[in-house]
Amino acid sequence: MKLTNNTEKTIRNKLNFAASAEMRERILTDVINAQKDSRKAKSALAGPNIWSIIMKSPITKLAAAAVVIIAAMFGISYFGGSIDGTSAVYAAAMKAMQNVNTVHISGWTTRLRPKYSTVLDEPSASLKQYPLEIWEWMTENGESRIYDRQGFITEWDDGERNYEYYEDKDLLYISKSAIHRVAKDIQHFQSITTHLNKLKDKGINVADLGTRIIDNKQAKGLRIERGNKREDIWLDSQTSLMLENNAYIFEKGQWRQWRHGALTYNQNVPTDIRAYVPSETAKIEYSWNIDPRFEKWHLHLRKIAAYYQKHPLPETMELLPRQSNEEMDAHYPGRLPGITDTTRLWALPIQSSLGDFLRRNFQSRGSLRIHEDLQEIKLNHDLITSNKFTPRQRVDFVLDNLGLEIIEIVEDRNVWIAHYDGRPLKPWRQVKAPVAKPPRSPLHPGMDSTSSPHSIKHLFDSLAYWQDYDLNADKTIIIDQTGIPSEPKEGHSRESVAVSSASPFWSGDESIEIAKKWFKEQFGITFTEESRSMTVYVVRRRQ
Amino acid sequence: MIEDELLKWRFKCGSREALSRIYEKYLNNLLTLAMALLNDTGAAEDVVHDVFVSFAKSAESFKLRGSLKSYLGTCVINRARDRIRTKQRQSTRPDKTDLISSEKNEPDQSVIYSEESRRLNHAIAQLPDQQREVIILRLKGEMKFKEIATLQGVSISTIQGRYRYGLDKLRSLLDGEVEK
Repeated sequence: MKLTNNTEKTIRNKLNFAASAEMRERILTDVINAQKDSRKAKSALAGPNIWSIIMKSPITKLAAAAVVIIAAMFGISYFGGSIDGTSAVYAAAMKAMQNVNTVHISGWTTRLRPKYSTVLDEPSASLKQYPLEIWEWMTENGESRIYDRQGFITEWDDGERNYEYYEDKDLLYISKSAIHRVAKDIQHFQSITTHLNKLKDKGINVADLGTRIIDNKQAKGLRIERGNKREDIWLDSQTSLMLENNAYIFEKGQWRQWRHGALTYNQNVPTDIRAYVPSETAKIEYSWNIDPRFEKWHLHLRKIAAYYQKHPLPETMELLPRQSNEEMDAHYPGRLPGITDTTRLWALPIQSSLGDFLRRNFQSRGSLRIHEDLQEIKLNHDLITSNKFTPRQRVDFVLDNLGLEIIEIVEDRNVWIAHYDGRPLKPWRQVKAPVAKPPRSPLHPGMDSTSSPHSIKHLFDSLAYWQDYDLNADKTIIIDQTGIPSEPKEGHSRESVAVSSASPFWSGDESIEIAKKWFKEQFGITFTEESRSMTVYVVRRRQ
Repeated sequence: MIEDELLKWRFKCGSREALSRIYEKYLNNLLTLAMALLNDTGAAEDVVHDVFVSFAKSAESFKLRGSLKSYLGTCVINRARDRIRTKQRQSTRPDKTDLISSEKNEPDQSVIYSEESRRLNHAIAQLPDQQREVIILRLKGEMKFKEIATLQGVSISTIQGRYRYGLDKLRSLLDGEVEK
């Protein structure tokens, strides 16, 4: 297909960028905090009259008038309205969901609708009823999980990946998780809220279906209709939880039901569903937004999870040697399917030299000394650990497994004492690295090495990290006397203590002057130098 | 439109829910605008972040008669322009020190996009700033030529000319690239 006359259409339809869940959450946190801070700063005023806003615009004036007339004629309600009590029903149903941990839906559907892949093109007019089973539950750390089986399609989301398995084709389609681990006010239990949200849609016609008994419970029915679609939902009269949901489509002069779902709540999720492992034999297709570089790592994590189905989980930590030397790109925490959710154990990949491992994981930057020979020890392992262990405990555990230990000695060291002149700090996003980094350029002193919110402690640690890259503990270390907080207060994000969007690369002596100048100009931080007795951590063979 | 009017009102009253809904509704659209104008993930995130944060702070003084989408889009344009101007002023300092490898960085996955979007954006990035802006505002910001003319401070015919020339160039860029 040549793009000649369709350029406008192509740009309109195909040029789309979407924020990742992380970005979405990152910005939303700041936005909500900004609103909160703004409200605190200004005294609360009474809300303006909605009509004065709507009626200022001639177009919205007409539109509002039209809505009022139509609503009066047909009993239509819209988001925020309360003409027929729809808002109250919606609010009560959503409130009821707050006490729910598990939803189970069973029923049937005539439409098999893969959410993410495009491998199936099922005719929508099919009358065949496929069995439907959906489980949705919350994990201990507040994330939601969905298992959704419709006919021969099984969809499962482990919070990292979304799997769609086509039993008939033995095809596994893998895409990014659709579960957004976002703010509390973002709705969980999509299998229910999707239906309830229809109550907020514009242009719906809502009718009262009266009451009936479902599973010995009195249920109140509502019919939500828009265009050629209709949905009958039945809510428990006492709890407001949805008990049944039936969807219809108007075809050939009559309403045809295409979906039926009966709902129950707070049941135990069967183990094979909670720890569902997608078929390993299936042909795999990846969605466009998956970086296949990490798929080996995800497969590796599934294998570790499978290993622990036959072996006991570690009481503290475990250093698992890898079976293969095959290199793979990895990231951490590596979530172990079916394990991380319940035990909070995760995998830390260690496929590097011991020196590299310590450089990344030993927190007292610039204070660790390890002989070159020991630095060269090759590690090809995964450390199974959890957040209750500190980085230092992880380091000690790995060293212990290698027959090594850390001893502490005291030495006179050259230290920089950091002082802050108290000037107002710039917003962290405005603080950039002192040297611009052209695309694809190698790193030079002063260029940004990682872009994200950085605290002042991180910036000092980073300077010590790059300066003492050879792990001799003989370079400058920094003592922070700035008083600038680096630990976020409880409930606050790390952006709340961020001072810079850049963490510059500070390797080599030539970095020193650039760093001093940058800290002074960007933050009003200067350093005084002195000699102090400091602890040095020496790695040696266990004696 | 009515929903936006309600959202504007509720937002002005201090509703967190309204702000969240506006955010969810327009985030990707604004991100697309910013990406198309800047062709830089980090810069686009910064711009969208700053626009929403300023918007969140503006509740009390917020007065808007027109379209919320156009308003937010215009904010993105203005901030993106500032970025482009700042970037043009910045001199990149060539350095001749030896190559020192960094730690392995994870790929940037903060923005999700298709290969086709990447290709289109790459082509759009090759247009002159003013043509790029008109095309993006018209096709992705859904703004009228008259609104764009006001924003750029030139006549409508100039805007239409920039749009036409920009599209022609884009068409030839894409024709040369797409081989299906």
